[in-house]
Amino acid sequence: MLGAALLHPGYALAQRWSQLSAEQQHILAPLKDDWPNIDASRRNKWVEITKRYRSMTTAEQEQLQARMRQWAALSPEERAQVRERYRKLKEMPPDRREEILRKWQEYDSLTDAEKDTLRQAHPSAKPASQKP
Amino acid sequence: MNEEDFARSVVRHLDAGTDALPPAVLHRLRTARDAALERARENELPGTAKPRPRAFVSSHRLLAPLAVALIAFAALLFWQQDMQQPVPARHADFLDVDTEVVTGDLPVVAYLDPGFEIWLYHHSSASAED
Repeated sequence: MLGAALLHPGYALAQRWSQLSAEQQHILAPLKDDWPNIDASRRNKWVEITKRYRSMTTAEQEQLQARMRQWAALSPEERAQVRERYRKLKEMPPDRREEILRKWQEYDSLTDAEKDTLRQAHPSAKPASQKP
Repeated sequence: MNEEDFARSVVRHLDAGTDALPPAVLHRLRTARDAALERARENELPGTAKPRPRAFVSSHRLLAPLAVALIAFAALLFWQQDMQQPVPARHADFLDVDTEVVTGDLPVVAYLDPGFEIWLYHHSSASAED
């Protein structure tokens, strides 16, 4: 009975990396080193993503891999900051959210030199996150 | 004290701290109990407790840890099922956000780029209204 429960795919018991399929390990490769530190509930969510991977386009798959690498490289403090900012973004009205996405595309199209100039031009400017 | 009271007294002694009793004492108690049960079966005394397995003391000792194990397993199953059920929005948000970040519209680095914050502050419609 216990064995059946452990083998049930619906149960979010902490799946060790070795228990993932080869395909899942390939998809989640950027998270391999961090996997032992990820709690069971989050592991289950990452595994859920692998189920959608096949239906993604190649570009979407590459983007996902790149973002997982970015995520894996973050410190715990940075991840907490990202989670908090993401929640705030999610709570914004749709039009405000879309504006932020447009602004990111504008900012991302700047050259590195332009970005440096921007930062130097506003060394004491209050970031948006600190706006009252 | 009649035999029925004696039997009940023996059971109470067996139940109370049997682990602390030396093996020899446990054996004498077990023997006395078995004898009492045998006499009760032969004489068909009314109100006598139903015969229990000879390994009553040892099996009774297993009941508590077995019950604990079963309760713990049941709790585990309920907890795992709870993880599969729809959860309150706030809790679901906590669970989903990591994967939503990497599958969302903004790259991860966007959330930490101070230059992007400055860009937003000085180039958004909200800041223009200030």
